[in-house]
Amino acid sequence: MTKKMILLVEDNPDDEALTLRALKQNKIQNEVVVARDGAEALDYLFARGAYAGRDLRVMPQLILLDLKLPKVDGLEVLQRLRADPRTALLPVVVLTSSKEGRDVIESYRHSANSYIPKPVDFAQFTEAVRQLGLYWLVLNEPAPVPRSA
Amino acid sequence: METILAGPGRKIVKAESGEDALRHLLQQDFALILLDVRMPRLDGFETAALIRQRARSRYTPIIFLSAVDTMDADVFRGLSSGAVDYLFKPVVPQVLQTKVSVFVDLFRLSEQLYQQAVQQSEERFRLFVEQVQDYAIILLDSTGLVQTWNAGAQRVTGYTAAEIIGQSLICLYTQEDRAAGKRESLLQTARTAGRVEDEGWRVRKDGSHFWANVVLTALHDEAGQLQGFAKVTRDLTERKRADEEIHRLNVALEQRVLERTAQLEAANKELESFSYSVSHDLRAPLRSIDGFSLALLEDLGDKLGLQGKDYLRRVREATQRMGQLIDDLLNLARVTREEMRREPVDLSALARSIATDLKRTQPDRQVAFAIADGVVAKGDAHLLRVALENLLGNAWKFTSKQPRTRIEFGVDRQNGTPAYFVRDDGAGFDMAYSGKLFGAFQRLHSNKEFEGTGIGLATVKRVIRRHGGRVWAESLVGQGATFYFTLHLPEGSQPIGVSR
Repeated sequence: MTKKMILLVEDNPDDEALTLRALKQNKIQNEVVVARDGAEALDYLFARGAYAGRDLRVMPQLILLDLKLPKVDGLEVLQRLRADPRTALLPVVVLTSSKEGRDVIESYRHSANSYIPKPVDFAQFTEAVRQLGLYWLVLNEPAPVPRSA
Repeated sequence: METILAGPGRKIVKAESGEDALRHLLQQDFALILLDVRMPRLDGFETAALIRQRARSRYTPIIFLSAVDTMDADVFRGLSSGAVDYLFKPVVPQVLQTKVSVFVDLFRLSEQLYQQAVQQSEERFRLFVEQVQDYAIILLDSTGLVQTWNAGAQRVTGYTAAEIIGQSLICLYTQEDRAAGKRESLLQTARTAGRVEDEGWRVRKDGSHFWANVVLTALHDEAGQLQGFAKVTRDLTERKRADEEIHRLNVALEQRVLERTAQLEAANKELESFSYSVSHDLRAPLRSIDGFSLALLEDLGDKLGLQGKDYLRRVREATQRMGQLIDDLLNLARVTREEMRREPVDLSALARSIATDLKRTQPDRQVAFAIADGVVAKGDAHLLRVALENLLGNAWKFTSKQPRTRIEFGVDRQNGTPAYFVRDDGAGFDMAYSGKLFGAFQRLHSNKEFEGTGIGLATVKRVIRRHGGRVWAESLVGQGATFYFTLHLPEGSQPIGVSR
């Protein structure tokens, strides 16, 4: 069994550092791969570009996805990933600053598994990360990764 | 007999039988008919009846001639079949002459009067037609040449009667209409259909155009033969111009509405993307400030000392207050631009659910909520929740200094309109400042006394205003406050505000 890995898609280095810290504080010790924009996230997931040749049998246990991203935005990443059988079933938690109704609606419409607005109060964020880590990394039984051709 | 009747200016026609008499009657009018009762085949009575059936001889006087031994019944029959008198043979010349003269004079007189009446009427009608100014009323012959031309025709077209009588009127048509054969086709339609109406541009003598409404009616004689046409033309140029002006203004107005709508939509979109950007971009740095402050406190707290920790606590508080401010501002903007729905909203249930949420935030407080049952109003459920959240949240906040308090929600009637209210027995405010209450960023209490961004009541006001209602407050310092609002969305009206 490969180690359970998390893909964090986040362009803001502060948010990246704080998210990693929140994970660490909650004793979530899974490997975290960070993609700084939507294009990089897709490259990683489909083993293209800088990630060509990556073992496609290894898929993240959880994707933490920011919505506002350079190049390819979060909603489009979500859409592409749901359209491909290799990634269609991966759990995706949308993590974003926005509480805008349309962001929430669009995220769920594109089959996000969960939507967490990042609060300004960091203590609240740490608590949210603890809960989502507990659910998605410990309790949730992941769908098997399809065999790639 | 003829000798008795003969006289100057009198013409006597003798008929040999009833049939012969009827034949003569077809050809001319008579002043008097002398009719023998006894005739072979068609007798006098039958002949009289037939004479009366014809329009032309319906009123021609008939005198029956009959034998002296005529019975009263015959006399009666003769009179009832239309005779004016009865003479018995042998005829007394004196009597006959007198009677005939009376009828002949009567006939002459009525002929004269009739002719005069016809002449007068024709004259009046001619004058009337001639002098009508607003309508061109003209007669055309069966080929379409002008026979009469009234003052209206001259006024409308500029041509005088002398110029145009005997002409074809082709001069009134535009080049295009001439090429299309419009004059001929109108005449042809009038010939076959009896009448034709047309509206279009025509040309005056001076070359200017006028908008004409034309009715062309075919005239036939009694035998159904086409005699010519009556043509009535009205100059509707003024009306046409006015119509065109109205049309032009309407088009311009529609265009302006479209432009304004587009501008509004653009402004609305801009506001939306502004809000979206604020929502994302303004919050992100605050998260960093708060997050790293907390990291400092947690990771290096022991090296900071008490003062250092206090500073960081203040940094975090300020950050979170600004986060709240951004959220409230976004909410205020959202309340304005969000689409409104109109449905019955159970305000009592809303108030109860908000009260439950409030109790959960501070479970130790002793607050008695008194919420009236069955308060239902028409409006937008989401917006009304925002308003009630703010009003009840305020009541909760401004009663927080008292150990036991009471918050009330209910409805009063003010001039027949329901006025919903939220009442508390908290800090209250000085009515002298009530004007500032509903402005954004206006606060009547310091942050130290009661926390707040000063946006809540501005948000309430927008919600109520979008519902066509009014919001106001009554208070005494230290004795609590009551906030009232009305909702007034008339049936079928559009909610106030910009729709998407």
